[in-house]
Amino acid sequence: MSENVTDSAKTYLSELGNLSKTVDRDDLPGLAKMHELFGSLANSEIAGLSADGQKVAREMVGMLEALILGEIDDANRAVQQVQEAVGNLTSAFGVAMSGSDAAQDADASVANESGAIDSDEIAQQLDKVFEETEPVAEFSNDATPLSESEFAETQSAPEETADVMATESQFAEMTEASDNAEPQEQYVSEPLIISKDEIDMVAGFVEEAGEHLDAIEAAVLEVERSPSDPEAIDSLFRPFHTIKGAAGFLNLRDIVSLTHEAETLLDQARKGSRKVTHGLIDLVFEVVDILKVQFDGIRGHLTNPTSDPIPQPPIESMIANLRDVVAGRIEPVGNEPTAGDAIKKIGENLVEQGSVPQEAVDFAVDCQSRSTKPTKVGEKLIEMGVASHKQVSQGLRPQAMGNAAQAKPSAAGGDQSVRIDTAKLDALVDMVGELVIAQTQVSASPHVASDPKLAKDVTRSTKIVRDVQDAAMAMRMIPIGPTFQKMARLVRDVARKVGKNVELTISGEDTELDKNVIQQIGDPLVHMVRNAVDHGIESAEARLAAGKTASGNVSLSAFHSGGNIVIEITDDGKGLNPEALIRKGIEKGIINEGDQLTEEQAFDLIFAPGFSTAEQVTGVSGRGVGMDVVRRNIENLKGKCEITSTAGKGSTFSIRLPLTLAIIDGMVLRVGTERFIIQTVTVENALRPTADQITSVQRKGLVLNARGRLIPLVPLGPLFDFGQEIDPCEAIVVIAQYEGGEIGIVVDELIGQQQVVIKPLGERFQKLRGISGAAILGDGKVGLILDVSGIVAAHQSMKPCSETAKSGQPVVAGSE
Amino acid sequence: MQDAIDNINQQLLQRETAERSTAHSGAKYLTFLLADEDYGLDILKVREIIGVLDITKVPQTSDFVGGLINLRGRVIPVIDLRTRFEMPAVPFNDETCIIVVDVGELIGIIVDTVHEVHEIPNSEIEPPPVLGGMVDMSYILGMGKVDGKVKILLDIDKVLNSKDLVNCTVNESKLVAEPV
Repeated sequence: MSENVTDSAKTYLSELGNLSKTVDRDDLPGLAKMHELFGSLANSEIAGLSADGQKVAREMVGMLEALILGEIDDANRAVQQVQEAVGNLTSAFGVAMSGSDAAQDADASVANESGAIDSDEIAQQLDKVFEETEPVAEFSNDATPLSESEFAETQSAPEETADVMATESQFAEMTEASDNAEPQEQYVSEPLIISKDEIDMVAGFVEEAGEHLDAIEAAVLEVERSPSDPEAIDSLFRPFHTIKGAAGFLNLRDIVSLTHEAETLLDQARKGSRKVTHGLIDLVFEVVDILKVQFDGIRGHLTNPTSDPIPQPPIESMIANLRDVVAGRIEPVGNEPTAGDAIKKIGENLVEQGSVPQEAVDFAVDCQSRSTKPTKVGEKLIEMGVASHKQVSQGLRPQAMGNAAQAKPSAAGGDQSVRIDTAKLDALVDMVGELVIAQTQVSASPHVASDPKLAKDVTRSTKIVRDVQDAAMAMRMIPIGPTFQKMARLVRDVARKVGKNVELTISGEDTELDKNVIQQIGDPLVHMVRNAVDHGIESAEARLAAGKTASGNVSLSAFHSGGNIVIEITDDGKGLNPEALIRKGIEKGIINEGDQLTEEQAFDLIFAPGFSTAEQVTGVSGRGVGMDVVRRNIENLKGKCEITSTAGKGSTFSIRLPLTLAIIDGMVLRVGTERFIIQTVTVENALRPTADQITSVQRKGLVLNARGRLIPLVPLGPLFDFGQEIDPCEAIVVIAQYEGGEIGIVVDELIGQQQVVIKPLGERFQKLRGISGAAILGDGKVGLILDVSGIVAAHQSMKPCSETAKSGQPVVAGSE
Repeated sequence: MQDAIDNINQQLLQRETAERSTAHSGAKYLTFLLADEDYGLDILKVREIIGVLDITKVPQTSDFVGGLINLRGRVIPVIDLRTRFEMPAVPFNDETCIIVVDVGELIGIIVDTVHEVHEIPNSEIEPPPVLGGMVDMSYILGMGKVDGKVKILLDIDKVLNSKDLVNCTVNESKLVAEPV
């Protein structure tokens, strides 16, 4: 026994003695230090301890590890055991060293305790503690690396007794640890109840999980395209894994189980033990669908909380299904836990577990990289007060598991983003708008003109203000890519259902739109893409007969065009047949026999309610609902939809949308002393009519004959009580479109074009007809925004009702 | 005049802290003039006082709705208090002010001129007198006595409580609702 080895053992014991006096269950740094010291003691190199002593030290290492990871229910008692063990070891060491003066150097209070160590007794005591925490015993005895799901399970059932945990909730350990053909427990779904305290957290989870599901769908398609690309499968893995982690944290057991099984399946594919087949892809899609249903259920529950359990999709059968697939063909070799996923940085683990926001981790990492003193990210996070010790230790666990295997850098990193309440952004945009106006007023000041230096400075600050405005606007913008990705799945599903071969080409997915627009454009796009696949693209035989490729092509593209965003859905199918459309229109009573329709008008029939072009109603589309809804949705977004089509070559549906809903392109009109704004997109043209173009009806209603179309005129002044009726021939007629046709709005003057920020008028003005909001004009004064449909309604109800209404009647018919 | 407004606005800015420190034995009232009558309204309801700026008329609204103003980027309605109380309208002048009140949302009220902020103890406030059917007393909190003069204390929430500022007599809603 060499002197310095004994010395070091003595030092360890003395340190342990000191630590054991102050340590308690929450003192994680203390426990960690003790863990380290016992680890050194257990090392056989140190001859200072007997074999029994080493055994005790090893047990202690396991115990402390379990303690640190928060797995021992009766942590206080465990700490006590550790303290006793320290005392006993010190005494035993003292006895072993008896005769030498070393004993006196050891910590007196401990060393003076009498009696030799009874290692059996300690071992028994330890067994007792471990028995009460069954899974931990397994873990420490078998030294099986803990899987994440096991972590989730232990997490999810902290209050449950050992035997409950050992049965049904342990399926995850069983599948992971016993990867052979052992019979598996039937998974039993639990009623899902979310407590009040958890609502916020769960809401956040559901929102994020939705994004992850989108990512999964996109990744699945990528995998299908290139099945041998391990990176593609990896990118499929990650979102599942994230959902599983977060669900585990929130005690959503069913989700944990389902995602876990899906992961196991994908793991096989990743390792090459399973081929990526369509069947596999479909299975993953099914899992995604079930998760979607589950999340929808939870979301519904959150908005309308009841004490009833949330209705659940068939998770049990899905899990059973997945397990059958996994077990049926798998070779019981090398089913290691997914080390690639496990080895992540502490920060990532914490963020995944939902303990700590990404920004906090970034900050901590930043501190770490700048600090000269080696600080651990976890410690920094605790210091910052954003994470508790327990959370950090939980975050450390996957790291610890992964360290055994070869660490490889995680590809995770993703977009750096911050979630902001849109109301805050709107407030910012408002204020910036004000800043722009104030800036304009400053630059118009005569002082500026007379002072070249000042003028230069003002010009510079004007430019900065404009940049700030652009930046503020840009914050609301998000790329349309993810929305397009969803369509990829839709095209695939619909094409398979109707037995066609259709490819989707996507371009311009980086094009950015206002978040609100993106949210609302989804439904119309679904309808249109579905129609393109179902109605547009012909069957393979018909295509070949027409000299086309057997597989059809649908393309989705987005691009900027003159201050607008255009989204185009193009198919290379059979195109629209105007005659068939007109025939159908007459059949459905939408138009009258003998009506002369231009090609454009014929195409527009598609948007009429109750119109369906498919010869047969299919399960996919063709019920005649859809396109009218599509048009309404697009109009709600202040957009327009146009169709171009060539028979036999295909059709293009273009949706023209404003960049943002908060800002519109407007034309400023003057009526008397007031100014109004009309959306440029609704204006067809403006003209000063000649006397022979105007026809008066009963001397009360006026109709404009514009190149053969009869357009009713609405004098805005009298309608709004703002002025006398003026002779239209001395005024300007603005021809505007609304869903039922066109009207000519008679105004005094057309002042110009301006982009304006829409300000709602609030509920006190809800009943206003013909006014949809207000905006602040260039000079700081408020201008009212006209609502064309409202003007028509107001005009029709103007006194004397009967006559005006009658004169308004033929208008609608005339426009067709 | 501008000095008086600035002075009151200054007080409004400081009131937050001041208000909490004073025991609630009485309240502070902003007094203003309307057709030679002295009125007061609870200062806690007052956001700020501005001079008359460009008011945009809104069609289909009741007479007393002055229109809309741009309050530093926010579009808020203004009410002509004279018209609201069926007093004869007068052209705006330098003295005319808009008191921006917060009744859950911001609304401007046009008054002839503002005077000052008075602290009126509860003991100096009399219940609204009975003046017969000619006068609508429901808007009146009480009569405050300040230096021997009487101020009519308004319940501004009630004055502005007609949620709907739109006057539907022009457009009978039933006519509009029917598909013509």
